[in-house]
Amino acid sequence: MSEQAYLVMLALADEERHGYGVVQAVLALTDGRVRLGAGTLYGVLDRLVEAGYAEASGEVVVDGRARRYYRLTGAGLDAVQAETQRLADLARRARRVLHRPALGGL
Amino acid sequence: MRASTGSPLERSVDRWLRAYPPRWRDEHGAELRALVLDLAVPGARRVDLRTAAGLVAGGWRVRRRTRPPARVVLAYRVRGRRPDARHDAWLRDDLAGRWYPVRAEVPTIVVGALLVALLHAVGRVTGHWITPRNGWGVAALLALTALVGVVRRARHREDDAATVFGFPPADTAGHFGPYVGLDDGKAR
Repeated sequence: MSEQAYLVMLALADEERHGYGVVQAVLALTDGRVRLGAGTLYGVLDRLVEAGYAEASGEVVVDGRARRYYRLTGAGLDAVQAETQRLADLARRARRVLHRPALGGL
Repeated sequence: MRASTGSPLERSVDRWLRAYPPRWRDEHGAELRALVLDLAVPGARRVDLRTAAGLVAGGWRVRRRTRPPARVVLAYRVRGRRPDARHDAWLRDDLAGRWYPVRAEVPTIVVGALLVALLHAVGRVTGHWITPRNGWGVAALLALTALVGVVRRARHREDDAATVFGFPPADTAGHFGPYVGLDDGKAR
């Protein structure tokens, strides 16, 4: 799972959002580090919908602009939880490696 | 998706959205358009370079993902074998596309060019010329043949669509309205 896909899934994990909402949520999740472009976001959303991890949940028109909402499916929630666990395990191992004194170190 | 109207920025967005195939734009074009407009810097008159590059890359990926495999396209172009129903959306876009007549004629043009090149080579070796001796003459002959083929194909686009999707085309009455039997239930 790419970092962008993981971030989009995280953005959809707590509530359904439209495209602009996902971009804002990802910005907040990453402290402004990742700003998804429109083309990138829809590429990720297409793949998530195709994989059965996300689905469209409704559409509204605000100020003449169409906004389609997306939400995670059960399979999507399982996948994002599994990925989060994998990253947590990796971070734990990384901390152990970093705190181990280097061989021949001072 | 809406027609290209409105502010310069909206027209710019609509131009860049053409990177996506019509079959995808019909479904998602309006929401992607809204997102690009939402993300634009206030006062912007055109789509910025990064967004434009993202749209082109995204459109190319969608086209690549939603087109039939190369062997299916080749069988369709060369042998006229209809792709199965899974690819109907692609087929509709192909038949409606601006460059359909050229795409459809490419195999004929390639085969024709090879044949003419062969005849030209035979003429060179044996001295019996069937094609014009001058290379430019050959090129002009090929170009003219290709042009005739493309124009003819453009004029028969509707027939090609009818052949692929059935005749008369589904949910249209055709040029002369629906068929009505001679007696129409009145003759006794």
